[in-house]
Amino acid sequence: MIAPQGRCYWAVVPFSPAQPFRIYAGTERAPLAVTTTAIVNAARKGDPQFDAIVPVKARPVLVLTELLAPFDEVLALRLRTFDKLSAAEQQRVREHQEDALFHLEPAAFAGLPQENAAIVSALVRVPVGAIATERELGTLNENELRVVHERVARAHGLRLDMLALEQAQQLIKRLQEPGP
Amino acid sequence: MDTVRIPGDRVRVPNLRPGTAAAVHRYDKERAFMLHPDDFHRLTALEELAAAALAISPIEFSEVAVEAHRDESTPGQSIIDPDELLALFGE
Repeated sequence: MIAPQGRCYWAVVPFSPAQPFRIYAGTERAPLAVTTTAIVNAARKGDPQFDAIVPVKARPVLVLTELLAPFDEVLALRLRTFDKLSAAEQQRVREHQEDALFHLEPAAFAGLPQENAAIVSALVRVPVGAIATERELGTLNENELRVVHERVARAHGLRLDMLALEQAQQLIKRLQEPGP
Repeated sequence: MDTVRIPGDRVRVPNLRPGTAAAVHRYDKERAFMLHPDDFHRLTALEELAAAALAISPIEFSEVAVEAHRDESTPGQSIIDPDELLALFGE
């Protein structure tokens, strides 16, 4: 069992399918280009399932979670290579002035072909079978991982206020309990 | 917290002073609590204050962040040439 949280690996990641969906229609004809409405309308006639042709790409990803048992899946972020950023943008990312792009220190991510940033809004769900776990490309330290989690929550507007409040209430309750 | 309004003639409510809660028990289990209105409003205001203090501020996406997300989430040209695919993956 691997513990991939905070680590970077090569993975095979599909792009999210978007309309027009290319639906496989056998070897004799080209795929059908179908809209969301057409597929939803077809669903009203039963429970049909189709094979959509989805582009996939091998890319490094930063894994945010441990394996979600029993599904053997993780949440991960896509990365942005520095060669696609201007010199000024690179510097802003290195100085953590871009909240949505988390800088991956080259020294800690020596397995990556070049300097990268994790795109905190670009979440993907990846089955562990699609991750090349035999070779780790780098790892975040605990503090960096906390910051990335915080930024992912902020980027996606996750409502964690009640969770934090409940944790605080439990902590207060424990502190108020008489000691041994 | 949602509040359910119940007419006063539908339930028997004890006289409660501020700072005192009445716990309604049944078979040793807590069923409900009744509070003086001042306490209820103070507690709900505190809860709202805590929730507001703990709410996370959204990230503002710069142009470079938006472009990075869009570009890395948009497929480029896929390889579909059979000879090229065979050269990459073999038989």
